[in-house]
Amino acid sequence: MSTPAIDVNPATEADPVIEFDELMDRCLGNLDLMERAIEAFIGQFPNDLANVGRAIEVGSKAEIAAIAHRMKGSASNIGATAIASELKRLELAANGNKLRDAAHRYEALRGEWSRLLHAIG
Amino acid sequence: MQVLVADDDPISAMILEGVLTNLGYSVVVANDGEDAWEKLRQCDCRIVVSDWEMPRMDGLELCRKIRSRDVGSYVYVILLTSRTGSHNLVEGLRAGADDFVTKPFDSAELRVRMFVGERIVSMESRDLVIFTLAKLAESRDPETGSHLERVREYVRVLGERLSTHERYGSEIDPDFIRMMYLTSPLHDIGKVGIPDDVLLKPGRLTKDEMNCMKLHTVIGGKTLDAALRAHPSASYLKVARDIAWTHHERYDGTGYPNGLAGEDIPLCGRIMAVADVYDALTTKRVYKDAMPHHEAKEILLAGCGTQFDPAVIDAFEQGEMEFIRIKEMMEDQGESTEPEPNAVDSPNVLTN
Ligand SMILES: [Fe+2]
Repeated sequence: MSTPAIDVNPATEADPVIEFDELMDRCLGNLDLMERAIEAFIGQFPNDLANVGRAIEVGSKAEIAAIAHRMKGSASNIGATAIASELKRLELAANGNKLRDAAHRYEALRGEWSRLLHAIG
Repeated sequence: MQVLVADDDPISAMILEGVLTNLGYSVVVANDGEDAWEKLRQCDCRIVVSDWEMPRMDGLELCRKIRSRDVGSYVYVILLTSRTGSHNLVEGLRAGADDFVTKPFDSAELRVRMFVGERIVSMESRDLVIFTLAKLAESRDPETGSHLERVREYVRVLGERLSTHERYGSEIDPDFIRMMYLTSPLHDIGKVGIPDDVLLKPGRLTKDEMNCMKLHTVIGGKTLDAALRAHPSASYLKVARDIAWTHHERYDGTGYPNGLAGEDIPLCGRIMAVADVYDALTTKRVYKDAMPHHEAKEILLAGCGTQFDPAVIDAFEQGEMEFIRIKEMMEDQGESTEPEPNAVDSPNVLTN
């Protein structure tokens, strides 16, 4: 088990939880699509988070990586950049066989998730 | 146009679907490669936008399956790759992917890449449709043999020569030549609407029958015009329509169907007229021998400024050797057994 990877650019409180401009561009200015995408993201995330948590508990690296990869796709498309970065680190840790590191990343991910929930009220 | 989106992440699939719908596509969503493969067999999706990594069947495998399918039309595949992933683009190309878009995708980039895909896919169906139509026209046309093949070559030669002409150079670019090459076989498509007793009549036509025969320009022109109105951005349809409608107009305004004169006749029609008449003159028919090149050339030169645009005749003279070569290379084997309904009655050279 190696030491946790160093955060290259950890999110700070000042970072936006969702890059709305980016999402707006991606959705070609379609507000309805933006809203539906964010709602779906928020609706789905807790479930995914719980699944990753379980995979970490049982030490299933492949499953951690697979779920984190898919979640990362959602997060990056929605413009939740900080969460996407955390998920990327989690995926890398799982792929690199670093379970302890993955557990750390998971905690950081939960932190980012609370920050997002808090920010959007 | 129907587009298939394959992504195991429902949020990404939802955004892709929304964006592509906004761009005017009709979108079918699949949640992995397996599902995509099933849906592709049920719907007529010509473009696939697929994630690379998916459970059950990944994007590469989906690509390979699409390429190994031996029926149906070409499916354009765009693979989504993560910016930082270790995806091997060569591997993607080898599997048959046409293009790549990085994730998270940029809608402006996606739009451009979709446009490229659409162009390629529509080019394929365009060539197919034109070929089918031309063959249909040919089956009703007693002038069989390699008429269509030769004429399109003559048209290409004239177009290339004219592209260096000071007056027409700006009008003729490689695209224009390509479109003329592609659509010139359709020039007599309107013959499908001419009754058998006129179209297949052996020997000379009466005045009424001749007038009826002349309608092939209007029938063909109107048919292609209707297609053009349904697809206004399809510039090749405009060229096809103009050729069908005006290839029997004369430079001096005494041709048919509309008696257009000079540059009121679309350039492609003026070009087609020379190619069509040259081929009619130099081809053997039951009732006449093939005219040798130099005699045909004399007739064309005699029609310069009256029947034909002098600039096109110039181009013919410049490309003369190529005309001879094409004529010799693509000569019909044996004799045409069908009689020609309209004689080529020089000096008022009249093809049909
Ligand atoms: Fe004709």
